[in-house]
Amino acid sequence: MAEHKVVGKPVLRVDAKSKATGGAKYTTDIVLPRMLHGKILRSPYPHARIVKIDTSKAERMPGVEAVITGKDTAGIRFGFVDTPRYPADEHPLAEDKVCYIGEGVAAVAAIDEDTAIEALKLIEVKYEELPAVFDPEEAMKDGAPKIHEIIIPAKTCAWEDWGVPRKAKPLEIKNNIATTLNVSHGDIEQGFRESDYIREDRFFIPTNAHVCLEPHDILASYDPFYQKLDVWLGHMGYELKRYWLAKTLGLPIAKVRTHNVYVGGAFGGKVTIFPYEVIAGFLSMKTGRPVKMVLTRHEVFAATCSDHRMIVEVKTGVKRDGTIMAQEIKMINDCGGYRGSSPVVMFLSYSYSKPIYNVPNIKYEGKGVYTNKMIGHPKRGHGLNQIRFALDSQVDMIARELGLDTVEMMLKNLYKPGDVLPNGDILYTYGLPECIRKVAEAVDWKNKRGKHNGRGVGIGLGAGDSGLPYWPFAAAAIVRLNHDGTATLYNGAVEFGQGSDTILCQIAAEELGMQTEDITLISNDSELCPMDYNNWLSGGAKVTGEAVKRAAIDVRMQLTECAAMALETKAEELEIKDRHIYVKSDPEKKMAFDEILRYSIQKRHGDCIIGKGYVKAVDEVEFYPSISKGTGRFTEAYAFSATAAEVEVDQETGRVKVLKLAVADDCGFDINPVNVEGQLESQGAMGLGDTLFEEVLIEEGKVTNPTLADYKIPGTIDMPEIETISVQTVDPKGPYGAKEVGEFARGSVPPAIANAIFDAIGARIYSLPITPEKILEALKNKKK
Amino acid sequence: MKQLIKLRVNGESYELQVEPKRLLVDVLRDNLGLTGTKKACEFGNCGSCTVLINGTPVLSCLTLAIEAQGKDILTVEGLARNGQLHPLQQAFVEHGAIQCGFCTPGMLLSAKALLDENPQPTKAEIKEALSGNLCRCTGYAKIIKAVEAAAQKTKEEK
Amino acid sequence: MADLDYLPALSSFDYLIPKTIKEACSLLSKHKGKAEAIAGGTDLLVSMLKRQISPKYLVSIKAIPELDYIHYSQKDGLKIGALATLKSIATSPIIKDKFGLLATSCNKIGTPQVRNMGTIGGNICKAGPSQDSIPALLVLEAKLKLVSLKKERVVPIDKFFIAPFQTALDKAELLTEIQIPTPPPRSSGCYQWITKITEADETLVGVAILMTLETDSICKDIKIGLCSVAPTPMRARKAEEVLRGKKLESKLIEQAAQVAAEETKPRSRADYRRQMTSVLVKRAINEVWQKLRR
Repeated sequence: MAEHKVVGKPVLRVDAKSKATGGAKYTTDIVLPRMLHGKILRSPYPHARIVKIDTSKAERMPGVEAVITGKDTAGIRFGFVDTPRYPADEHPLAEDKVCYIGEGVAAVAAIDEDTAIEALKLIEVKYEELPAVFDPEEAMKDGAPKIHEIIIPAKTCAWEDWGVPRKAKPLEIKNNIATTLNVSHGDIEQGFRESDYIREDRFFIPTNAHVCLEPHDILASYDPFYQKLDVWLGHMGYELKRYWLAKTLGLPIAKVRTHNVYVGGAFGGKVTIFPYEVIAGFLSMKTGRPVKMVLTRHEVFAATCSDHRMIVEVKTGVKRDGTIMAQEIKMINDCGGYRGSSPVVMFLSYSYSKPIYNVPNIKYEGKGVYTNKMIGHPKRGHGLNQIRFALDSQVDMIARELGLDTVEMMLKNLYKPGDVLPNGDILYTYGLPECIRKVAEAVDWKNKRGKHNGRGVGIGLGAGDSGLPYWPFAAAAIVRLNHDGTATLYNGAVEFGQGSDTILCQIAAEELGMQTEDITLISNDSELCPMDYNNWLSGGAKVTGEAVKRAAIDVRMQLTECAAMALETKAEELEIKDRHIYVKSDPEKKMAFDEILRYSIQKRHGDCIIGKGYVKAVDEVEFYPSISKGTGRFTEAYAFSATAAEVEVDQETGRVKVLKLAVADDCGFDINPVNVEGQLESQGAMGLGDTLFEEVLIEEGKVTNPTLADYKIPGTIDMPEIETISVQTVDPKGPYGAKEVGEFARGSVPPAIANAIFDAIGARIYSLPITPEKILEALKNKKK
Repeated sequence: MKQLIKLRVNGESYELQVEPKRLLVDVLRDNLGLTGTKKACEFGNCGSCTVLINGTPVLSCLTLAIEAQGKDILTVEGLARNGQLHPLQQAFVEHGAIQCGFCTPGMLLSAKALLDENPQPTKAEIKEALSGNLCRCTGYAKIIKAVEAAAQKTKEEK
Repeated sequence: MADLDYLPALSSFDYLIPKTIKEACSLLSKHKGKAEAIAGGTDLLVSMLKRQISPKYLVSIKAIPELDYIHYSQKDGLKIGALATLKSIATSPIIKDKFGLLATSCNKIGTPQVRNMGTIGGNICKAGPSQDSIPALLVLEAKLKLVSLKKERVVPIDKFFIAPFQTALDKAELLTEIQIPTPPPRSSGCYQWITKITEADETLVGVAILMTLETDSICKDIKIGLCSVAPTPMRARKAEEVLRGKKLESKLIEQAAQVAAEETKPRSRADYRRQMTSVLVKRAINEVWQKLRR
């Protein structure tokens, strides 16, 4: 591995001091003069027609500046998925009917929150309740209540705006089926015929919540004189938010500015454009004043989004030696009252898992189904989690049935570096086998496995992309030299805790022979930064990092050229160190960066040394792979992970104590090793919550645990020892070999714990979370 | 009806006109502009709003501003002195204990109260003291390490 | 009117600060029905934010100096002022030494911040089904001193809870003191629990035991207190009868545990709660027996 000076080092985070002293600003902290507060009136019914809304009393209330309903926002459409095939189906406020409890029907902007809440009380809404359906399998039956019948596209769909030469057509919905996925390779029937042993299992994964500590929020400020909208908001990529705000509010995109704020956690829950964001912009435009909206925890739990509910049926055929011959997967994705990210999550369930087991004959069939519940959107792993719980639990069961060791069976079915996936993606690096071996060793697999004495070990796997094709398809960065020889980096990436600010400064510093402190970062501002790739596309390190690297290299080359001119030598004779350029053979001959800058300005016609860098996420792909057929290039590099768990089960109470988690990740190269550890520890904790604690409970469409008292995430006392292992395969496609990190280890944790529980007590649980009651029930059934 | 109250925050005295129902967290953030203390859950379940009152960690989201009169209130903004980070802040920075940062102010104050009362806590005591502060980002490992490191450093300096 | 359960908010109130117990009772009496006493505030403010109650007056009793104390004498037993914080009880050396199960229970409640703010009086008067302090107080046979303008009365704790969130406390009365007699010699106790989901979480089943031995293996007396398994915290009296005066042995302990489980009336997660009552009662009795045999 090359010797690096700044990347690869545990550099202290550049945002740490600001966050440690209370100086860091989040959207909730921003205050503007004459700011109003917005609140939304939400439907108490899961499915109802809006007969009449009377806002007159609310409008007359002192301190209320604006009241709007679906009549005011009629026709505005948006959605996470807005393609020619799947036109957008969401709107800021309900128009003729509501499709889930919590859907907004009216909104108020007032001088303070209390006044806004009192005003909501004065809005009279007459609903006609409609029959509702909550179970996706019921929703697909003939005669079930129709949640959507036809989706009429807006004038253009997003992908048309982004260059796809196809118009969206009205989409007829039959049997509440919102989306479908059908992928197949090989000959599935033949594959089963060649199998010695076939297993079929059904798994159920409920919805769970992101629980970012910072609630969803936005501050929108419209200037009617310049027709410009300034926005501060929690997000994971401003390009998508800007695009939608501009489109829904009828503004040119360059007139929507997203400002730099820190984001208090995102985990996928702040990617899409939300109704409350469009509403805030709309209210600001209507009043000509800034409007702030901070959602309550209840609203975040029940009316923003949550992870996807899935029923996963897996039928797998294997040879006696454990080689997987055929795998047929049927997914029902209960997507809620609107489509959300359903088509994408099913596609990713396939795409993220594909590079793990090399299955020659495969068939994925997915259906996204509308029900009268809240909407599903990405959550850290976006589709990986549900499918891994199913697939790796089943592999464990198959291994046991055949008398094989699960680790050995997993290793037998993997790919090899250099393999090409059916869609054309090449696995240049493939650290999965090492991840598996290392986590198995970390939990002392050989000695702890198979004891069935209340303690056991288990393993689960994960994988994911390092940047997908999605608008705007590429990342860009600008670096300029400052008067004092330090540098300023302009890049749009957003810091939501993952360490983006720091690693980008590290990369720039590395290429420029500087320290991270010498880089002034201008980030996350749509007006000050060049085009941003959007961090939620999993390319923060590999794609954005590469763009930053190229911009810094551009500056370095200019510096070198200029120094060569000034020192009357050739560029090859020079080297950079500590903000100086030296002649290698005669280090006394040197120039400081600020000297070079002065020279450049004077002698090179004012050239003040500005560098640019850009990179496309997936060069070959013009728009996007087929999300319904799973074909088409997807990413340049996959990251891999494995988790092994050791658990102890109290067989009287059913309580599971996780004694240890070993989380290994192949992210190619650790740009910041402490950051990588932090991401793996983070995913260990989140996976623990997924497995044992977390479920959004929904009864008759109503979220019954929408507070942090009732929905529990792991606290300090719940945490086991977590050992993190980084496997660095140095991918040729990523900057310094870096691939993705931070998202795809989460999905490897639930199967690890579930398999460890089986190893401990011989009880298999087919649904998450694994509660004490499920364990006691499974133990009881085992006895029968 | 608004009342005149006097609050002493981070060593400074403030006179404010507030309604009795105003929560301390809102008065700190909105009236005094001390936005370091965070709101995340409304019902006192997450600890993000933790401040020290007379050295004791309390939930400012379940404390009426009017009740905090005559007491010393310490928020995260009061930890650093003369531009120098408090040893705990320094330790959090050095040990990668901060990711999104939203839980950090509350964590720091709970940790400070612990070390003031128990300068050499065990790992279990640290976990217990921080059990009322939720973090979604870090998994707590580096936060606990940072508190241990700060305790160790203070011990060595003595 | 719209259901705004997703938007918690406080309605306006006047905040009154009495300086003596008498003054507090006078205010509670004057504004009877429209006033609430506020101590730590953690439970009260949550109820108000949820619009479950909207008092026009909050009578702050925090400033009353004579309500925060922990006194012990062998003769008079333990006397705790209603304003003693849960933290002070959890960490009090005398309570940890002589009434350990009470310290353990109070240390379980909420989070460190809640224990700093919350008072024993508040915890008792909230009277929720899952108040951790109550089982210990039940088995310790605590008495509660209730004071009003006109009179003072002492109520045994097992007569205090009427229904969920409903107590024998009159609206114009104030709980001022908790009186706990010294347990007889050769007694010990413990508090065990399981939580709803995570470790620092509300109690799903809480079991307090106070046992007095005749000899190393004969149980002279036993008291079993339970919370979170019935509309109010309760004593498992039938289970107590199984062991009182009998020779201790594992089968009998299991039987008592089973009887205790049958006495419960849980609403949600009922089967699991009953099962766990049985498991925890058994484990708690064994823990106390073990302690006493040393």
